[in-house]
Amino acid sequence: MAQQPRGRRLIIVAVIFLVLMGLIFLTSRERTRQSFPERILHGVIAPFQKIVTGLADFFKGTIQTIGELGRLHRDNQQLRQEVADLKAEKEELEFYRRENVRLRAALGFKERRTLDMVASEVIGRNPSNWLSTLTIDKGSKDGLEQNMPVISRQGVVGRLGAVRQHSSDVLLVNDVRAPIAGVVERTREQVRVLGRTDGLCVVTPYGRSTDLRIGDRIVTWEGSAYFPPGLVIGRIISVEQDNFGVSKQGLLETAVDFHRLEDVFVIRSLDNLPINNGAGGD
Amino acid sequence: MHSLAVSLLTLAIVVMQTAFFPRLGLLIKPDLFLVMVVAYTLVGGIKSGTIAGFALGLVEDLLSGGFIGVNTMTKSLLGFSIGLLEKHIFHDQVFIPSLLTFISTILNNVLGMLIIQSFDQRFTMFPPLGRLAALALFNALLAPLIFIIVRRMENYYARLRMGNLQSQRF
Repeated sequence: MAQQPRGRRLIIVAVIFLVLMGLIFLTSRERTRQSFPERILHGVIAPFQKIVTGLADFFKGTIQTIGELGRLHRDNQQLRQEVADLKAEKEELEFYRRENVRLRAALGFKERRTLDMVASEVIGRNPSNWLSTLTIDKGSKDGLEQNMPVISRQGVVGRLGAVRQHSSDVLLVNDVRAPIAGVVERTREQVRVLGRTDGLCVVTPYGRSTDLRIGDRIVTWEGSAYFPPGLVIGRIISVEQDNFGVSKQGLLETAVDFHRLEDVFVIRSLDNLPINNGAGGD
Repeated sequence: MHSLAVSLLTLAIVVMQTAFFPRLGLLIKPDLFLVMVVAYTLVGGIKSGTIAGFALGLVEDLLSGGFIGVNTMTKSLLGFSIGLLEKHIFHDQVFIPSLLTFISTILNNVLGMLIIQSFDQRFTMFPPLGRLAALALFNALLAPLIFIIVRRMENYYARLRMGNLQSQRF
């Protein structure tokens, strides 16, 4: 094959460079829909991710079990006793729950909100070290839609980004592109929680707050576009003056340990009211 | 057959990167795409390195869900740059893939972050130095293994092609 002239090769490289720059520009904004190649690629690898996730769990579980065999036997005996105690306690609590429902109804209180949730398994992570997203094994076939909130037992995980038929991407709380409206639980002051590339989040009060303390718990705000109120986002681990010396801002460690997150819940609706599906942040 | 083997190896790398390593609960996950690019460059030279960088970077970008083109650009550039050095280094030394992978990891992250920052002002921070060094070290430790796999695979198919050529000649 004849060697391409140097000038022609330079033109090809320049064109590729410009096309890539254009692509980066177009995809740097939040998108409502993934491109066809992205959907195909995710669709192809999702089943393999699910298999390998199972293998990794087995691998990790086997190593842990071997190391804990002796302790497990002792725990087993203790847990059997605890199960018996808890059964008795559960019956008692069930009695109180029924009584509580009856008394609330008698007093005309509104029933507590019920969440329609879908349990889902984490099957993949973003391969890039710059973006914080993960992939779950439920998609539009399970009734999921973009921006639905995702939580775990520890607290807020994030909200749904791209939703495919059988899998979805979750924009994590500490992703730079997914700010959340929160409140300081102690003072009820409204704050904005924004992710950083090092995995932590910056907490900025909307007002000129000077009362932000280490250890303060930040929960989701009542007026949040995506999240039910009162879900734990995380705790303040350090506080500093902002660049202008006017107000304080805090550094937040998320309640959820994303490195060890395996199962999540997607909230499909609150009291059967749909979740806000508008684009943009909180 | 060669294309199928390369595709299977890529699929394995993608699944290890996105599902296996993150599931182990480690604080950092390696960049297997980058390790592959360095291995392909050392085995196949400048052309293989640049193509591997472009293809693997694009796959990584398509799976990332944002900034499509950043990894394509940084990894092609690294494949090309290491390819320029490839003829001048004795890459049978076991530490060469590790050393080049270590340096490439740092360059890839710095370059990638600079490109992202120029498109999105919200990305203001570079990854902490300790984390970057740990990532580079992790990649460097995996580099000899992936280098050996890629070299064996490429040598096998090169011998197969030679055998086919000779049988056609006689």
